[in-house]
Amino acid sequence: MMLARRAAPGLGAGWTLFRSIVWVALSFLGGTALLLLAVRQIVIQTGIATSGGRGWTPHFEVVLQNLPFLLERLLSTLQLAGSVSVLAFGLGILVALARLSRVGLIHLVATWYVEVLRNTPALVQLFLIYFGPPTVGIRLSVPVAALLGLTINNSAYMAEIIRAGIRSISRGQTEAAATVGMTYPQIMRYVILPQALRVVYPPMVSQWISIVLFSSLASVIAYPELAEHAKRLDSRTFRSFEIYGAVTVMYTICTLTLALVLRLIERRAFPVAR
Amino acid sequence: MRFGLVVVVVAVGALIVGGLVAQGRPVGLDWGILWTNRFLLLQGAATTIALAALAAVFGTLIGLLVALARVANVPFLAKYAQGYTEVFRGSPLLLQLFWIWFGLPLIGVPINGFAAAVLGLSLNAGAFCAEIFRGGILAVPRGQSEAALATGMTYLQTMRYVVLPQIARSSLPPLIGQQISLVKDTSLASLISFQELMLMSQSIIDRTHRIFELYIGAAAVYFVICYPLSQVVRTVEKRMGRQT
Repeated sequence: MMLARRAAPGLGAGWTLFRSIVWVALSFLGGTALLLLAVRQIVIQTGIATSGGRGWTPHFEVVLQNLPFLLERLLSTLQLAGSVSVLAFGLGILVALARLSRVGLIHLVATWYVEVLRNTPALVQLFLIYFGPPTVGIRLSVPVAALLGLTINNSAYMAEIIRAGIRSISRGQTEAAATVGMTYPQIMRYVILPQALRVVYPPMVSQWISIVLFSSLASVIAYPELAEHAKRLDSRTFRSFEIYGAVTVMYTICTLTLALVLRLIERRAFPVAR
Repeated sequence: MRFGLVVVVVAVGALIVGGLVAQGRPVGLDWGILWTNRFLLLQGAATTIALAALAAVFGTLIGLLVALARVANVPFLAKYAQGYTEVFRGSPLLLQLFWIWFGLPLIGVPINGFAAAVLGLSLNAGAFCAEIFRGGILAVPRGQSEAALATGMTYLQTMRYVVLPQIARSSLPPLIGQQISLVKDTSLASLISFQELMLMSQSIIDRTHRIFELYIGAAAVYFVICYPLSQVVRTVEKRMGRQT
Protein backbone atom coordinates (compact mmCIF):
# COMPACT_ATOMS: atom_id res chain seq x y z
CA MET A 1 0.00 0.00 0.00
CA MET A 2 2.76 2.37 0.92
CA LEU A 3 4.61 1.56 -2.27
CA ALA A 4 1.63 2.03 -4.52
CA ARG A 5 0.83 5.51 -3.22
CA ARG A 6 3.46 7.58 -4.89
CA ALA A 7 2.68 11.06 -6.05
CA ALA A 8 2.13 11.24 -9.79
CA PRO A 9 5.22 12.84 -11.29
CA GLY A 10 4.18 16.21 -12.59
CA LEU A 11 5.92 19.34 -13.73
CA GLY A 12 6.81 20.21 -10.13
CA ALA A 13 9.59 17.68 -9.60
CA GLY A 14 11.00 18.20 -13.08
CA TRP A 15 10.97 21.96 -12.71
CA THR A 16 12.85 21.81 -9.41
CA LEU A 17 15.43 19.56 -11.04
CA PHE A 18 15.74 21.87 -14.01
CA ARG A 19 16.13 24.92 -11.81
CA SER A 20 18.82 23.25 -9.77
CA ILE A 21 20.68 22.23 -12.94
CA VAL A 22 20.48 25.73 -14.41
CA TRP A 23 21.67 27.12 -11.09
CA VAL A 24 24.56 24.65 -11.13
CA ALA A 25 25.48 25.58 -14.70
CA LEU A 26 25.40 29.30 -13.89
CA SER A 27 27.53 28.88 -10.78
CA PHE A 28 30.01 26.88 -12.87
CA LEU A 29 30.19 29.72 -15.36
CA GLY A 30 30.63 32.23 -12.56
CA GLY A 31 33.43 30.16 -11.05
CA THR A 32 35.05 29.73 -14.44
CA ALA A 33 34.87 33.46 -15.08
CA LEU A 34 36.72 34.08 -11.80
CA LEU A 35 39.25 31.41 -12.75
CA LEU A 36 39.78 33.03 -16.15
CA LEU A 37 40.22 36.44 -14.58
CA ALA A 38 42.89 34.95 -12.33
CA VAL A 39 44.62 33.35 -15.32
CA ARG A 40 44.39 36.66 -17.15
CA GLN A 41 45.99 38.50 -14.25
CA ILE A 42 48.78 35.92 -14.12
CA VAL A 43 49.56 36.11 -17.85
CA ILE A 44 49.50 39.90 -17.72
CA GLN A 45 51.75 40.03 -14.64
CA THR A 46 54.24 37.58 -16.15
CA GLY A 47 54.22 39.52 -19.39
CA ILE A 48 53.32 36.61 -21.68
CA ALA A 49 49.86 38.01 -22.42
CA THR A 50 48.90 38.49 -26.08
CA SER A 51 49.30 42.07 -27.21
CA GLY A 52 45.59 42.61 -27.70
CA GLY A 53 44.67 40.96 -24.42
CA ARG A 54 46.01 43.61 -22.07
CA GLY A 55 43.45 46.21 -23.00
CA TRP A 56 40.49 43.84 -23.12
CA THR A 57 37.28 44.71 -21.32
CA PRO A 58 34.13 42.61 -21.39
CA HIS A 59 31.52 43.82 -23.85
CA PHE A 60 28.40 41.68 -23.66
CA GLU A 61 26.27 44.34 -25.35
CA VAL A 62 27.14 42.70 -28.67
CA VAL A 63 25.35 39.58 -27.54
CA LEU A 64 22.39 41.48 -26.07
CA GLN A 65 21.91 43.56 -29.19
CA ASN A 66 21.92 40.47 -31.37
CA LEU A 67 19.86 38.32 -29.03
CA PRO A 68 16.71 38.36 -31.25
CA PHE A 69 18.75 37.11 -34.22
CA LEU A 70 20.51 34.53 -32.11
CA LEU A 71 17.19 33.23 -30.79
CA GLU A 72 15.88 33.08 -34.34
CA ARG A 73 18.89 30.98 -35.31
CA LEU A 74 18.39 28.80 -32.25
CA LEU A 75 14.97 28.01 -33.66
CA SER A 76 16.60 27.17 -36.96
CA THR A 77 19.00 24.83 -35.14
CA LEU A 78 16.07 23.13 -33.44
CA GLN A 79 14.25 22.81 -36.76
CA LEU A 80 17.25 21.17 -38.35
CA ALA A 81 17.78 18.88 -35.35
CA GLY A 82 14.09 18.00 -35.26
CA SER A 83 13.96 17.09 -38.94
CA VAL A 84 17.15 15.07 -38.64
CA SER A 85 15.79 13.24 -35.58
CA VAL A 86 12.59 12.22 -37.34
CA LEU A 87 14.28 11.21 -40.59
CA ALA A 88 17.12 9.39 -38.84
CA PHE A 89 14.62 7.54 -36.65
CA GLY A 90 12.72 6.33 -39.71
CA LEU A 91 15.86 5.33 -41.56
CA GLY A 92 17.23 3.81 -38.36
CA ILE A 93 14.23 1.47 -38.02
CA LEU A 94 14.74 0.25 -41.60
CA VAL A 95 18.47 -0.29 -41.05
CA ALA A 96 17.85 -2.05 -37.73
CA LEU A 97 15.33 -4.41 -39.36
CA ALA A 98 17.80 -5.00 -42.18
CA ARG A 99 20.51 -5.82 -39.65
CA LEU A 100 18.23 -8.37 -38.01
CA SER A 101 17.34 -9.85 -41.38
CA ARG A 102 18.10 -13.51 -42.01
CA VAL A 103 18.94 -12.77 -45.65
CA GLY A 104 22.72 -12.76 -45.70
CA LEU A 105 23.26 -9.98 -48.19
CA ILE A 106 20.82 -7.52 -46.56
CA HIS A 107 22.30 -8.23 -43.15
CA LEU A 108 25.81 -7.73 -44.51
CA VAL A 109 25.07 -4.43 -46.24
CA ALA A 110 23.23 -3.04 -43.20
CA THR A 111 25.98 -4.13 -40.83
CA TRP A 112 28.66 -2.41 -42.86
CA TYR A 113 26.49 0.66 -43.35
CA VAL A 114 26.35 0.98 -39.57
CA GLU A 115 30.00 0.12 -38.96
CA VAL A 116 31.38 2.53 -41.54
CA LEU A 117 29.16 5.42 -40.46
CA ARG A 118 29.82 4.89 -36.77
CA ASN A 119 33.58 4.61 -37.14
CA THR A 120 34.23 7.68 -39.30
CA PRO A 121 33.80 11.33 -38.28
CA ALA A 122 30.53 13.07 -39.11
CA LEU A 123 32.56 15.96 -40.48
CA VAL A 124 34.13 13.79 -43.19
CA GLN A 125 30.72 12.40 -44.12
CA LEU A 126 29.25 15.87 -44.33
CA PHE A 127 32.11 17.14 -46.50
CA LEU A 128 31.85 14.10 -48.77
CA ILE A 129 28.14 14.65 -49.27
CA TYR A 130 28.42 18.39 -49.81
CA PHE A 131 31.64 18.67 -51.83
CA GLY A 132 31.67 15.23 -53.47
CA PRO A 133 28.64 15.21 -55.80
CA PRO A 134 29.50 18.46 -57.66
CA THR A 135 32.60 16.77 -59.07
CA VAL A 136 30.34 14.35 -60.93
CA GLY A 137 27.85 17.04 -61.88
CA ILE A 138 25.25 16.73 -59.11
CA ARG A 139 24.75 19.84 -57.00
CA LEU A 140 23.10 19.54 -53.62
CA SER A 141 21.85 22.71 -51.98
CA VAL A 142 23.19 23.49 -48.50
CA PRO A 143 20.00 22.52 -46.60
CA VAL A 144 19.66 19.25 -48.52
CA ALA A 145 23.31 18.36 -47.94
CA ALA A 146 23.12 19.25 -44.24
CA LEU A 147 19.92 17.30 -43.75
CA LEU A 148 21.18 14.33 -45.75
CA GLY A 149 24.59 14.22 -44.09
CA LEU A 150 23.32 14.47 -40.53
CA THR A 151 20.45 12.06 -41.19
CA ILE A 152 22.67 9.39 -42.70
CA ASN A 153 25.20 9.78 -39.90
CA ASN A 154 22.61 9.54 -37.15
CA SER A 155 20.60 6.76 -38.74
CA ALA A 156 23.50 4.41 -37.95
CA TYR A 157 23.41 5.31 -34.25
CA MET A 158 19.60 5.13 -34.22
CA ALA A 159 19.74 1.72 -35.88
CA GLU A 160 22.03 0.39 -33.16
CA ILE A 161 19.77 1.70 -30.42
CA ILE A 162 16.65 0.25 -32.05
CA ARG A 163 18.34 -3.07 -32.75
CA ALA A 164 19.37 -3.39 -29.11
CA GLY A 165 15.76 -2.61 -28.16
CA ILE A 166 14.31 -5.21 -30.50
CA ARG A 167 16.78 -7.84 -29.31
CA SER A 168 15.87 -7.14 -25.69
CA ILE A 169 12.37 -8.51 -26.38
CA SER A 170 12.56 -12.24 -25.81
CA ARG A 171 12.36 -14.57 -28.81
CA GLY A 172 9.46 -16.43 -27.26
CA GLN A 173 7.17 -13.50 -27.98
CA THR A 174 8.02 -13.48 -31.67
CA GLU A 175 7.47 -17.20 -31.81
CA ALA A 176 4.20 -16.98 -29.90
CA ALA A 177 2.96 -14.24 -32.21
CA ALA A 178 3.98 -16.31 -35.21
CA THR A 179 2.07 -19.30 -33.84
CA VAL A 180 -1.17 -17.32 -33.63
CA GLY A 181 -0.74 -16.58 -37.33
CA MET A 182 0.67 -13.05 -37.35
CA THR A 183 2.84 -12.10 -40.29
CA TYR A 184 6.31 -10.63 -39.83
CA PRO A 185 5.18 -6.99 -40.33
CA GLN A 186 2.31 -7.57 -37.90
CA ILE A 187 4.62 -9.07 -35.29
CA MET A 188 6.93 -6.08 -35.59
CA ARG A 189 4.11 -3.56 -35.60
CA TYR A 190 1.95 -4.93 -32.78
CA VAL A 191 4.26 -7.00 -30.57
CA ILE A 192 7.90 -6.01 -30.80
CA LEU A 193 8.07 -2.31 -31.65
CA PRO A 194 5.66 -1.05 -28.94
CA GLN A 195 7.73 -2.81 -26.29
CA ALA A 196 11.04 -1.97 -27.90
CA LEU A 197 10.13 1.74 -27.95
CA ARG A 198 9.93 1.76 -24.17
CA VAL A 199 13.39 0.21 -23.91
CA VAL A 200 14.97 2.47 -26.51
CA TYR A 201 13.46 5.74 -25.30
CA PRO A 202 16.18 6.72 -22.77
CA PRO A 203 19.15 6.11 -25.13
CA MET A 204 17.11 7.74 -27.88
CA VAL A 205 16.78 10.90 -25.77
CA SER A 206 20.55 11.19 -25.41
CA GLN A 207 20.87 10.60 -29.15
CA TRP A 208 18.39 13.39 -29.88
CA ILE A 209 20.35 15.72 -27.66
CA SER A 210 23.57 14.81 -29.37
CA ILE A 211 21.80 15.53 -32.68
CA VAL A 212 21.17 19.07 -31.45
CA LEU A 213 24.86 19.35 -30.59
CA PHE A 214 26.01 17.80 -33.85
CA SER A 215 23.71 20.00 -35.92
CA SER A 216 26.27 22.73 -35.21
CA LEU A 217 28.48 20.91 -37.72
CA ALA A 218 26.12 22.13 -40.44
CA SER A 219 27.70 25.54 -39.89
CA VAL A 220 30.85 24.36 -41.68
CA ILE A 221 28.91 24.10 -44.94
CA ALA A 222 27.28 27.47 -44.15
CA TYR A 223 23.86 26.17 -43.14
CA PRO A 224 22.18 29.14 -41.43
CA GLU A 225 21.90 27.98 -37.81
CA LEU A 226 23.09 29.17 -34.43
CA ALA A 227 26.79 28.28 -34.66
CA GLU A 228 27.00 29.79 -38.13
CA HIS A 229 25.49 33.03 -36.88
CA ALA A 230 27.94 33.09 -33.99
CA LYS A 231 30.78 32.78 -36.48
CA ARG A 232 29.38 35.56 -38.63
CA LEU A 233 28.85 37.81 -35.62
CA ASP A 234 32.39 37.10 -34.47
CA SER A 235 33.92 37.98 -37.82
CA ARG A 236 32.01 41.25 -37.78
CA THR A 237 32.67 42.38 -34.21
CA PHE A 238 35.76 40.40 -33.06
CA ARG A 239 34.09 39.82 -29.72
CA SER A 240 34.89 36.08 -29.86
CA PHE A 241 35.14 35.54 -26.14
CA GLU A 242 31.73 37.00 -25.36
CA ILE A 243 29.92 35.63 -28.40
CA TYR A 244 31.13 32.04 -28.28
CA GLY A 245 30.71 32.01 -24.50
CA ALA A 246 27.13 33.24 -24.74
CA VAL A 247 26.24 30.88 -27.58
CA THR A 248 27.73 27.94 -25.66
CA VAL A 249 25.46 28.88 -22.75
CA MET A 250 22.49 29.16 -25.12
CA TYR A 251 23.13 25.64 -26.40
CA THR A 252 23.50 24.36 -22.84
CA ILE A 253 20.23 25.85 -21.64
CA CYS A 254 18.52 24.61 -24.77
CA THR A 255 19.71 21.00 -24.41
CA LEU A 256 18.99 20.96 -20.67
CA THR A 257 15.45 22.15 -21.35
CA LEU A 258 15.08 19.56 -24.07
CA ALA A 259 16.29 16.83 -21.73
CA LEU A 260 13.76 17.94 -19.13
CA VAL A 261 10.85 17.99 -21.58
CA LEU A 262 11.77 14.60 -23.01
CA ARG A 263 12.04 13.12 -19.52
CA LEU A 264 8.58 14.45 -18.66
CA ILE A 265 7.24 12.92 -21.87
CA GLU A 266 8.85 9.64 -20.90
CA ARG A 267 7.04 9.64 -17.55
CA ARG A 268 3.74 10.31 -19.30
CA ALA A 269 4.14 7.95 -22.22
CA PHE A 270 5.81 5.04 -20.47
CA PRO A 271 4.64 5.01 -16.85
CA VAL A 272 6.71 2.65 -14.74
CA ALA A 273 4.93 -0.71 -14.64
CA ARG A 274 4.18 -1.75 -11.09
CA MET B 1 35.98 -9.86 -36.01
CA ARG B 2 37.62 -12.19 -38.52
CA PHE B 3 35.15 -11.07 -41.13
CA GLY B 4 35.85 -7.43 -40.35
CA LEU B 5 39.56 -8.01 -40.90
CA VAL B 6 38.83 -9.62 -44.27
CA VAL B 7 36.76 -6.60 -45.31
CA VAL B 8 39.43 -4.14 -44.21
CA VAL B 9 42.10 -6.09 -46.10
CA VAL B 10 39.89 -6.24 -49.20
CA ALA B 11 39.16 -2.51 -48.97
CA VAL B 12 42.83 -1.60 -48.61
CA GLY B 13 43.67 -4.01 -51.43
CA ALA B 14 41.01 -2.42 -53.64
CA LEU B 15 42.46 1.02 -52.93
CA ILE B 16 45.95 -0.16 -53.89
CA VAL B 17 44.85 -2.07 -57.01
CA GLY B 18 42.59 0.82 -58.02
CA GLY B 19 45.47 3.19 -57.54
CA LEU B 20 47.75 1.08 -59.73
CA VAL B 21 45.10 0.70 -62.43
CA ALA B 22 44.10 4.35 -62.48
CA GLN B 23 47.64 5.68 -62.34
CA GLY B 24 48.11 8.45 -64.83
CA ARG B 25 44.61 8.47 -66.25
CA PRO B 26 42.85 11.82 -66.17
CA VAL B 27 39.27 10.54 -65.85
CA GLY B 28 37.52 8.68 -63.09
CA LEU B 29 38.75 8.17 -59.59
CA ASP B 30 42.49 8.41 -59.16
CA TRP B 31 43.38 6.49 -56.04
CA GLY B 32 47.04 6.99 -56.86
CA ILE B 33 46.70 10.46 -55.37
CA LEU B 34 46.60 8.83 -51.95
CA TRP B 35 49.85 7.04 -52.69
CA THR B 36 51.64 10.11 -54.02
CA ASN B 37 50.63 12.03 -50.90
CA ARG B 38 51.19 9.12 -48.55
CA PHE B 39 53.74 10.89 -46.38
CA LEU B 40 51.53 13.92 -45.84
CA LEU B 41 48.57 11.68 -45.03
CA LEU B 42 50.63 9.55 -42.67
CA GLN B 43 51.86 12.70 -40.99
CA GLY B 44 48.28 13.84 -40.60
CA ALA B 45 47.26 10.46 -39.24
CA ALA B 46 50.13 10.52 -36.75
CA THR B 47 49.10 14.00 -35.58
CA THR B 48 45.50 12.84 -35.21
CA ILE B 49 46.58 9.81 -33.17
CA ALA B 50 48.84 11.95 -30.97
CA LEU B 51 46.07 14.48 -30.41
CA ALA B 52 43.53 11.77 -29.62
CA ALA B 53 45.93 9.98 -27.28
CA LEU B 54 46.80 13.13 -25.33
CA ALA B 55 43.17 14.18 -25.07
CA ALA B 56 42.21 10.64 -24.04
CA VAL B 57 44.72 10.63 -21.19
CA PHE B 58 43.82 14.13 -19.98
CA GLY B 59 40.11 13.55 -20.53
CA THR B 60 40.11 10.35 -18.50
CA LEU B 61 42.08 12.01 -15.70
CA ILE B 62 39.77 15.03 -15.66
CA GLY B 63 36.79 12.70 -15.74
CA LEU B 64 38.07 10.70 -12.78
CA LEU B 65 38.80 13.81 -10.72
CA VAL B 66 35.47 15.41 -11.57
CA ALA B 67 33.58 12.20 -10.74
CA LEU B 68 35.38 12.01 -7.38
CA ALA B 69 34.57 15.66 -6.75
CA ARG B 70 30.93 15.03 -7.55
CA VAL B 71 30.44 12.17 -5.12
CA ALA B 72 32.60 13.76 -2.41
CA ASN B 73 30.81 15.37 0.49
CA VAL B 74 32.07 18.88 -0.24
CA PRO B 75 29.03 20.91 -1.30
CA PHE B 76 30.54 23.70 -3.39
CA LEU B 77 33.04 21.42 -5.12
CA ALA B 78 30.32 18.95 -6.08
CA LYS B 79 28.16 21.71 -7.54
CA TYR B 80 31.04 23.17 -9.49
CA ALA B 81 31.94 19.75 -10.89
CA GLN B 82 28.32 19.14 -11.83
CA GLY B 83 28.16 22.51 -13.57
CA TYR B 84 31.25 21.57 -15.55
CA THR B 85 29.75 18.31 -16.78
CA GLU B 86 26.40 19.92 -17.63
CA VAL B 87 27.98 22.73 -19.65
CA PHE B 88 30.53 20.62 -21.52
CA ARG B 89 28.07 17.83 -22.29
CA GLY B 90 25.29 20.25 -23.13
CA SER B 91 27.03 22.40 -25.72
CA PRO B 92 28.65 21.49 -29.03
CA LEU B 93 32.36 20.68 -29.08
CA LEU B 94 32.65 22.97 -32.10
CA LEU B 95 31.73 26.02 -30.02
CA GLN B 96 33.89 24.95 -27.09
CA LEU B 97 36.86 24.78 -29.46
CA PHE B 98 35.98 28.15 -31.01
CA TRP B 99 35.59 29.69 -27.59
CA ILE B 100 39.03 28.48 -26.54
CA TRP B 101 40.78 29.18 -29.85
CA PHE B 102 39.31 32.60 -30.63
CA GLY B 103 38.28 33.71 -27.16
CA LEU B 104 41.28 33.04 -24.92
CA PRO B 105 43.83 35.08 -26.94
CA LEU B 106 41.42 38.01 -26.85
CA ILE B 107 41.47 38.16 -23.06
CA GLY B 108 45.25 37.82 -23.08
CA VAL B 109 45.89 34.08 -22.69
CA PRO B 110 48.36 33.03 -25.39
CA ILE B 111 47.48 29.66 -26.94
CA ASN B 112 48.50 27.78 -30.07
CA GLY B 113 46.46 25.43 -32.25
CA PHE B 114 47.76 22.26 -30.66
CA ALA B 115 47.19 23.47 -27.09
CA ALA B 116 43.72 24.75 -27.97
CA ALA B 117 42.79 21.43 -29.61
CA VAL B 118 44.13 19.35 -26.71
CA LEU B 119 42.47 21.62 -24.14
CA GLY B 120 39.09 21.67 -25.89
CA LEU B 121 39.00 17.95 -26.61
CA SER B 122 40.20 17.04 -23.10
CA LEU B 123 37.63 19.23 -21.40
CA ASN B 124 34.88 17.86 -23.61
CA ALA B 125 35.96 14.24 -23.16
CA GLY B 126 36.46 14.85 -19.43
CA ALA B 127 32.79 15.72 -18.98
CA PHE B 128 31.67 12.51 -20.68
CA CYS B 129 34.22 10.38 -18.80
CA ALA B 130 33.08 11.96 -15.53
CA GLU B 131 29.54 10.74 -16.16
CA ILE B 132 30.83 7.24 -16.94
CA PHE B 133 32.88 7.11 -13.73
CA ARG B 134 30.11 8.63 -11.65
CA GLY B 135 27.61 6.10 -12.94
CA GLY B 136 30.00 3.32 -11.96
CA ILE B 137 30.71 4.79 -8.51
CA LEU B 138 27.00 5.20 -7.78
CA ALA B 139 26.38 1.59 -8.80
CA VAL B 140 28.64 0.34 -5.98
CA PRO B 141 26.40 -0.18 -2.93
CA ARG B 142 26.63 2.71 -0.46
CA GLY B 143 27.14 0.33 2.43
CA GLN B 144 30.62 -0.50 1.19
CA SER B 145 31.98 3.04 1.28
CA GLU B 146 30.23 3.64 4.60
CA ALA B 147 31.85 0.51 6.02
CA ALA B 148 35.24 1.57 4.68
CA LEU B 149 34.86 5.05 6.18
CA ALA B 150 33.78 3.49 9.45
CA THR B 151 37.00 1.46 9.62
CA GLY B 152 38.87 4.75 9.57
CA MET B 153 39.84 4.95 5.92
CA THR B 154 39.89 8.41 4.42
CA TYR B 155 37.68 9.36 1.49
CA LEU B 156 40.53 8.97 -0.98
CA GLN B 157 41.55 5.62 0.49
CA THR B 158 37.95 4.41 0.29
CA MET B 159 37.83 5.35 -3.35
CA ARG B 160 41.26 3.99 -4.17
CA TYR B 161 41.02 0.61 -2.44
CA VAL B 162 37.28 -0.14 -2.23
CA VAL B 163 35.19 1.59 -4.87
CA LEU B 164 37.37 2.25 -7.92
CA PRO B 165 38.78 -1.30 -8.28
CA GLN B 166 35.22 -2.57 -8.57
CA ILE B 167 34.16 -0.14 -11.29
CA ALA B 168 37.35 -0.48 -13.34
CA ARG B 169 35.98 -3.47 -15.25
CA SER B 170 32.42 -2.34 -15.79
CA SER B 171 33.34 1.15 -16.96
CA LEU B 172 35.89 -0.13 -19.45
CA PRO B 173 33.53 -0.60 -22.44
CA PRO B 174 31.91 2.87 -22.19
CA LEU B 175 35.34 4.41 -21.64
CA ILE B 176 36.73 2.84 -24.81
CA GLY B 177 33.54 3.92 -26.57
CA GLN B 178 34.27 7.45 -25.40
CA GLN B 179 37.80 7.25 -26.84
CA ILE B 180 36.29 6.19 -30.20
CA SER B 181 34.16 9.34 -30.26
CA LEU B 182 37.24 11.27 -29.26
CA VAL B 183 39.20 10.00 -32.28
CA LYS B 184 36.32 11.08 -34.50
CA ASP B 185 36.02 14.40 -32.68
CA THR B 186 39.65 15.27 -33.38
CA SER B 187 38.48 15.99 -36.94
CA LEU B 188 36.88 19.16 -35.51
CA ALA B 189 40.36 20.44 -34.67
CA SER B 190 40.73 21.09 -38.41
CA LEU B 191 38.15 23.87 -38.00
CA ILE B 192 40.46 25.77 -35.65
CA SER B 193 43.23 25.36 -38.25
CA PHE B 194 45.16 22.65 -36.47
CA GLN B 195 46.91 20.56 -39.12
CA GLU B 196 45.64 17.04 -38.39
CA LEU B 197 44.43 14.40 -40.82
CA MET B 198 41.31 16.27 -41.87
CA LEU B 199 42.99 19.60 -42.57
CA MET B 200 45.88 17.78 -44.25
CA SER B 201 43.41 16.09 -46.61
CA GLN B 202 41.76 19.42 -47.26
CA SER B 203 45.03 21.09 -48.13
CA ILE B 204 45.81 18.25 -50.54
CA ILE B 205 42.33 18.69 -52.01
CA ASP B 206 42.96 22.40 -52.47
CA ARG B 207 45.99 21.46 -54.54
CA THR B 208 44.62 18.48 -56.50
CA HIS B 209 40.80 18.80 -56.43
CA ARG B 210 40.52 15.07 -55.76
CA ILE B 211 37.62 15.39 -53.32
CA PHE B 212 36.24 11.84 -53.30
CA GLU B 213 39.60 10.12 -53.12
CA LEU B 214 40.99 12.19 -50.27
CA TYR B 215 37.90 12.33 -48.09
CA ILE B 216 37.34 8.60 -48.55
CA GLY B 217 41.01 8.03 -47.82
CA ALA B 218 40.77 10.15 -44.65
CA ALA B 219 37.60 8.31 -43.65
CA ALA B 220 39.43 5.01 -44.20
CA VAL B 221 42.21 6.10 -41.84
CA TYR B 222 39.70 7.05 -39.15
CA PHE B 223 37.95 3.74 -39.75
CA VAL B 224 41.18 1.79 -39.36
CA ILE B 225 41.74 3.50 -35.99
CA CYS B 226 38.17 3.29 -34.69
CA TYR B 227 36.96 -0.07 -35.97
CA PRO B 228 39.37 -2.24 -33.94
CA LEU B 229 38.48 -0.22 -30.84
CA SER B 230 34.77 -0.77 -31.43
CA GLN B 231 35.43 -4.49 -31.82
CA VAL B 232 37.27 -4.45 -28.49
CA VAL B 233 34.21 -2.86 -26.88
CA ARG B 234 31.99 -5.53 -28.40
CA THR B 235 34.24 -8.37 -27.26
CA VAL B 236 34.58 -7.04 -23.72
CA GLU B 237 30.84 -6.49 -23.45
CA LYS B 238 30.09 -9.96 -24.75
CA ARG B 239 32.54 -11.52 -22.28
CA MET B 240 31.01 -9.57 -19.40
CA GLY B 241 27.50 -10.52 -20.46
CA ARG B 242 28.50 -14.18 -20.39
CA GLN B 243 29.83 -13.93 -16.86
CA THR B 244 26.75 -12.38 -15.31
